[in-house]
Amino acid sequence: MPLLPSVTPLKKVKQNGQPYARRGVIETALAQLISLDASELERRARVEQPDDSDYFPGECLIYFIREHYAAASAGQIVAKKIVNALSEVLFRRAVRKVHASLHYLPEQQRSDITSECMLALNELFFSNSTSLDYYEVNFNSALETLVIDQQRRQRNEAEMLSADPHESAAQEKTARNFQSDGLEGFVESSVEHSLRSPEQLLLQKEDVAKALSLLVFVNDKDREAWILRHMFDYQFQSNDPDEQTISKHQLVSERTARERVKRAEEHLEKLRSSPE
Amino acid sequence: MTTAQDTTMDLQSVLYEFRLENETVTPAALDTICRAYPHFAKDLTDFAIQWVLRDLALAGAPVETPIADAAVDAIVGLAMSDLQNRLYKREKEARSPVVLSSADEAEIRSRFKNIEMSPPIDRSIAASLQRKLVELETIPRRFLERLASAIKSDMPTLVAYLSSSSIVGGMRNYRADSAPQAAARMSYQDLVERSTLSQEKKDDLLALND
Repeated sequence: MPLLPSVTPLKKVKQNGQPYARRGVIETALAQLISLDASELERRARVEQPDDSDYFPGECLIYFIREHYAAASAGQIVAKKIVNALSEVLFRRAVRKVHASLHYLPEQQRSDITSECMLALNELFFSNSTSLDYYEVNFNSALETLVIDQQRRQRNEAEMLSADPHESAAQEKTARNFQSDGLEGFVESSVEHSLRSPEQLLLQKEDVAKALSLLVFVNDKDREAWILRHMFDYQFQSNDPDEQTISKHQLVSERTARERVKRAEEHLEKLRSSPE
Repeated sequence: MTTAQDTTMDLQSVLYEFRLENETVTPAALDTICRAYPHFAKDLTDFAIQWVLRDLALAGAPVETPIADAAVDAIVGLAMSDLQNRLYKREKEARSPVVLSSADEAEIRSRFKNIEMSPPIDRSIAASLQRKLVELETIPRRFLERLASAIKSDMPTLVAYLSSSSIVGGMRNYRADSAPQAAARMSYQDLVERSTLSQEKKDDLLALND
């Protein structure tokens, strides 16, 4: 017997007022999957090979967990069984994806961020957050957003603790362990897509490439100021109150902002010219 | 689940939108979204920096072997345990709803006077909550937890209070032409937006949705 009458539309709307929609392939899959009973749904969810025609995309896992969560938390046995089975599959996939996407970090940090992301996913279901709509639109991108946001939060927390000399030493050690091989692909796309007016920049394309690879060795605040200036095209200060500037973002004077960018540039110059 | 559109844009939603609508960070995209949501500009810029640093690191680091099954099991076990705890908590709350006597209601009502909590709320917010004029399902859980603490109560009691019939403003008018009706409830976002708080304080309250 089908468990759900029809596929529920998404609620979130874009900045321009357009509603978000699932991809056609997901809508088609959902239209077929809602007619399945609980045991078949579980069987399909456990199919691991993406090229198998019975494979259950992450977007669909999110949909069914959301739909059955309220009934599961009210103690309905079938709904609980579905939520448990599908959540375990979801977590297994998400853990592998998130952990793999953090392969440049030390193991402990990777595991910590991965665990935090899974708990954050749980919170979204628990609070019946409409943010889950984004996971039904594009599961991988939404998951990546969660990871980047988790890292952003950790970075902010680390900044607050940066007075701790042990912490700073650990960060420096991580930076020195950084491998810069295979950077070209990223740099190509950064330079092609991220710079609005490269001709206005002080650095040439190949300089940006080298600078990016060396940025990990630059002090956090100086590095941030350099990225704001050279990658996001931020001004040091502006008369436009709505424009984001380096001094506004870092809560410093224009002079300090200029000093930070200059210091980063000088540091990079030294690193470039020094032997390996 | 209703099909009404959700136009609330808390920080989390803005970050998802930013990421989903852009393959990579461009100055134009960052400028556009910061201007659209100026109260989140700092967070958006921080997010963009982290995004760039992550892309850089991913491009530079060598690919390694996948995570061991035992490590996956450990994290999945933790997540499943958290899921079970949350389901159990909800189930328990649903099974034993708190029933408030009129004396309990009056006691809770009195605690909304001169309420102090963090982030701060103004008198209009306190009065609307006291009169139960807010849709319970739109109130962030984190706000409810802080409110419960501010009125020296607990979550089930506060939820029972806020979900009971709203206090009818016209009841005192015994010569009214029509029978009193419960006032329409507003969303949490409307409640905050209509308040007299500064934009910064409103943002703090809206950020509890994250």
